[in-house]
Amino acid sequence: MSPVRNEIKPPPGGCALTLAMASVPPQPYVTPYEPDEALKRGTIFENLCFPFHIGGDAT
Amino acid sequence: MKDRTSLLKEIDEISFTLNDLTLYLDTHPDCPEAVSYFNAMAPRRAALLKEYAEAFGPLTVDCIQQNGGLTDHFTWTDGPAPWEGGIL
Repeated sequence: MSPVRNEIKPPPGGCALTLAMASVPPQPYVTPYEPDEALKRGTIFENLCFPFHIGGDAT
Repeated sequence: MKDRTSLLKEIDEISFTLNDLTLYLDTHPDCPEAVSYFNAMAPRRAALLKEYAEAFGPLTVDCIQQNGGLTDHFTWTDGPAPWEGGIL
């Protein structure tokens, strides 16, 4: 039997990759933004709106 | 009557809303709030597409059919092409 491998060989020139476990909670429904606001923000849901301010506020 | 650009903007906005909503519905197909929101938004988009087609020509081939089909000629090329300022 081959040993368990947690190290994935890096592609040439790339970084070493390691296996990981992800834990993602179920997304609860929240009242969506109005369509004009949703398009500006890039999501209809407030709980998925993560504005990144590098380069300025998009909204 | 709404001008072409603002009507198109409304269509873009509602289309984005529906598209994002379908992503949510993919993983929450039984969510009653999302189902009800879909049922509110989808007809609004259809109505806007119809309104646009009536005033400025069809945005998609489906819009031709929904607006009564072709009469005497192919309406697809009636409006300006995107590179002629058709889609702003």
